[in-house]
Amino acid sequence: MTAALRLLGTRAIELIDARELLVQLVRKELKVRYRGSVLGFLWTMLTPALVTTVFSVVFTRVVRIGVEDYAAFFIVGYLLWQFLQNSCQGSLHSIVGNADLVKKVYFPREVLPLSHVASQLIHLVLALMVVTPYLVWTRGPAVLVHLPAALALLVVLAVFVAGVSLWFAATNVVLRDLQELFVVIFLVWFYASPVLYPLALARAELAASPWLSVALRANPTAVFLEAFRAPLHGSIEVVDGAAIVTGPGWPPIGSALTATAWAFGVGVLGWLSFARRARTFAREL
Amino acid sequence: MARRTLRQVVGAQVDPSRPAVVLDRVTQTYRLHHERPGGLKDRLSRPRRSSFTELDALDAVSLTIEHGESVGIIGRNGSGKSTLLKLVARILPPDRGAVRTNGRVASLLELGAGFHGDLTGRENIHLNGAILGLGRAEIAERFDAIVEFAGVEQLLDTAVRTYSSGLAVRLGFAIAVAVDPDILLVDEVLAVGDAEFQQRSLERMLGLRRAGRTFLLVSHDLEVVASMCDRVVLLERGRVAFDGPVDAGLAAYRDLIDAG
Repeated sequence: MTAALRLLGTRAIELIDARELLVQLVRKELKVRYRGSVLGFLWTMLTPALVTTVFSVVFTRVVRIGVEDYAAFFIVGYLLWQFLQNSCQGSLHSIVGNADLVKKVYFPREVLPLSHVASQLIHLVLALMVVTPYLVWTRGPAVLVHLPAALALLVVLAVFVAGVSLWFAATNVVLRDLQELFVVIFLVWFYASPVLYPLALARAELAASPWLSVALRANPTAVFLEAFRAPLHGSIEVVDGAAIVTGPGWPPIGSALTATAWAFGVGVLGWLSFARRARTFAREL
Repeated sequence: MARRTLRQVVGAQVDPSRPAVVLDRVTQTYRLHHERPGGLKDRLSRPRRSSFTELDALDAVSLTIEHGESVGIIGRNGSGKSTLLKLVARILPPDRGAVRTNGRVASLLELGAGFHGDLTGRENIHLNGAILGLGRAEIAERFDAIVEFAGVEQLLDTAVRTYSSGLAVRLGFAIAVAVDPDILLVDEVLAVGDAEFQQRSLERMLGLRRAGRTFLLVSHDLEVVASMCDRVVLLERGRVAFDGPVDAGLAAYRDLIDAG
């Protein structure tokens, strides 16, 4: 326990000293991603816009998920999901893809995955700014009032995503099959997380099989998605099989606390597993 | 003993009361895997059994290098010279023993590692400076000197992938020496660039040396060792075969080679 604290403490000091490197790497990520243009950013919004359109048609016309303003409901969760998945995907390759650098220069290795998390976070904030007018238009001005809660949750979410990303980055060095498994892991995780459907509806439908219901709730992304949607779309309850949306409003204190606990736990464990493995990266690559 | 600051403890700031570099019975063992490891299939089919030969790259090496010393590490290929530099650079952790450095370490092991082809010269100076551990203000302060030394004024806003390899190396060198580290690790770096640039880089290193920086230099060029160093460590099969004055060290090395 003390050894772990000392390890993280030393890493933290090194990371603070290396903050300029993190800034430079984030700048590089954003530049490569947006190719230095405003249009570049708009291009990256094309995917969420199209996916939202398709899923809205499918899940409001074909298979009916009776959620008020489904497009607003979906886009909020989908942007959050993209933040998680893109951060992990970038981090997955961040050590292995920079093998030359890692084998030749010392710097705190955390900056490589963390630069992906940070640039994806910036992207998420920009994307949220783009969709906020749409959310206000469909869900009303209450979205603006409760926006600070969403921003606070972003900080908590970023800690969680950083933990998962650090784990993926370090594990891929010793277990290269992770690259192949990654797509499957995230496909399964996506459908197991309440991005397409509200958690309350799934729990109501799965009431007969308690194990599935427990598994659904044990998934940390479910906690984040539900808490994050409360201020931007609303909270959903199921009454007589129908989804009733109330809000937008403040996220329930219980789910905010659960989210914080998940973030802290996953953040520390992910960082610890990374810090332990980072010592031998140069040899494994 | 005076209380050390946190940054001194982690080695980011010089503590003049202690030596610059200490290697304490350092052993570094390489596992030469007979097949490339890391697949799930390998792990499932042979969870414990792995096939490798162990090779001691360094065998219980102890060294103390004081501030301002310039130490030439010589020895035949495979004697452990580069491994020693990588340990001091913290790229590798020692398997046994301890390596302690005191002050900012910069390595000229690989110039321009971390250059990103799509970024301009200007952006790469910022990125590479940060990789080598400089803060924003420090980079800004050194920027003009780097540009001038590398001679890239005209190409500052051009993507580095269009640079010739010689030019990229020059830029890498300019950034690395601009770091002005307390401890400088050099691995055969003078073999790059044209004659004029080699001369200039040698002068720059002698300048740093006069300014009291600590040098660890790996080279097969014994003339460079003779002109740069005031101490020689001769490695043979991962052990220190000689540690002392340059003349005697170079003589010992020649004897070793003559003996075969």
